[in-house]
Amino acid sequence: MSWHTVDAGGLDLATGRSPRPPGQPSPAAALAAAPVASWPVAVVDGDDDRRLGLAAALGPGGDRVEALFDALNVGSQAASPQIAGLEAADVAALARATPAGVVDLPLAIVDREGAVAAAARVDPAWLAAVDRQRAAGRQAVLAAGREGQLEAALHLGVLLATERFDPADDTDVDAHICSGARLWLLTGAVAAAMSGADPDPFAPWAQLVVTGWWPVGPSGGRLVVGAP
Amino acid sequence: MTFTGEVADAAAAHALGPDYVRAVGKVITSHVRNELAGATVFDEPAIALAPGPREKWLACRIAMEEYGHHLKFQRLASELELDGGGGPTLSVFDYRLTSWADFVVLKALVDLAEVVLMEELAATSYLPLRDLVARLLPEEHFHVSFGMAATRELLAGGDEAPAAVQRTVDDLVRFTVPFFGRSGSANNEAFRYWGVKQRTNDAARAEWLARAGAFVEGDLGLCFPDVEPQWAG
Repeated sequence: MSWHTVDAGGLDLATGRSPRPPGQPSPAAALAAAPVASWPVAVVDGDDDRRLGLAAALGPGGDRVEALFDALNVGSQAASPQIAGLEAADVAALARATPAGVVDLPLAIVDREGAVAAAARVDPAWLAAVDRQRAAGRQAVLAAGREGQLEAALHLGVLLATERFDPADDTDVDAHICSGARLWLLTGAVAAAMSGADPDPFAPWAQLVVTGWWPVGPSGGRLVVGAP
Repeated sequence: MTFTGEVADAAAAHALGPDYVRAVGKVITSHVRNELAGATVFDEPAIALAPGPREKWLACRIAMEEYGHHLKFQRLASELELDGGGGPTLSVFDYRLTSWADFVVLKALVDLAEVVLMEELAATSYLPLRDLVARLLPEEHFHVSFGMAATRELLAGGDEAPAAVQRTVDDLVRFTVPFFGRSGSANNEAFRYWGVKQRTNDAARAEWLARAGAFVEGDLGLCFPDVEPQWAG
């Protein structure tokens, strides 16, 4: 078998040309070897022209990852969060369902400067709980012997999100903190989706992240969310 | 006589001959390996070492940028039909990162070495490589400026901070000297012949020593180790 990751036009993402040997031994290995990403992506077996979508290539939970990346793509193209499908009530409900459980504090939607300031005072116990949830999702997938599929999903997620969350100004420290936080949450969401966790602890915040929001967490007696 | 032309793409590189592809390929695949090693050995572990959420998320962004650099060099290698995965990584990746302080000093000094190498490639004969480094350099500059700013903050952190930073500087300088390759390197001779690089390894090392020394002594008020720009391996 000779698997290649291809773009919507069927071109190999590794070379920009039609797939040709040598390829990778599995769909996941082909995804993990793609040096660039486009959306949508698929994998093809150069030996028999078999084609798989991302969900099938990633196995269980792959459909949730595909939906997440699809939303990321739509969200990054939207001119405003409203166009991406989130109204204020949605944001409030999603924000309270944090990856470490429901947080019932007054919601504060702030600009990026306010979000970065709040980030410095995030409740450390809550943050540690989110860290544990991130690790739990990853461990569950690894325990199922699916390291290759997990790494492929994370690789593709990083490729897609690093560019979509790119700080406009390469010297802006706050923009890098915001981008890094959203990447941290997104990669946690990918692992949780792959684990099949139900309910998925990262799903509500992942919706915020892919539509441009930065849910920061409980800070100074408020539940802080950075606006797009 | 040395080659003074510009090479537009992979097809033009192959048309020029295997010696050119070998020369530019060695430089590109070295970056493929070492950008990945940097992200894996230093940047990802730093996320867990960060003292607070802001630092954690900053480290996360930096790790993913470095991983992205690896992939972008990998794409160049693929276009040249080269396998970028094999071969050794640089000895600087043998450095054992144990603290956030190590990480920020490393960003200030080791990423500065990467900047010195990349800045030279901004004039390389292989135009896809020239274009790539032009896109990556702003991110690399950010990593260095972050490291320098965070190192200054470390020094303000208590009476023991200067001695601790000095120890890290001493260690990292020793590990980074080989980063630029051996004096009298045959590879470097080929790089310069083909216009892939313009300087000897020693000249690049000397520039890093000057810039790193100015930061450590002029900016931090610490001692920069006495290091020669020659390195025999």
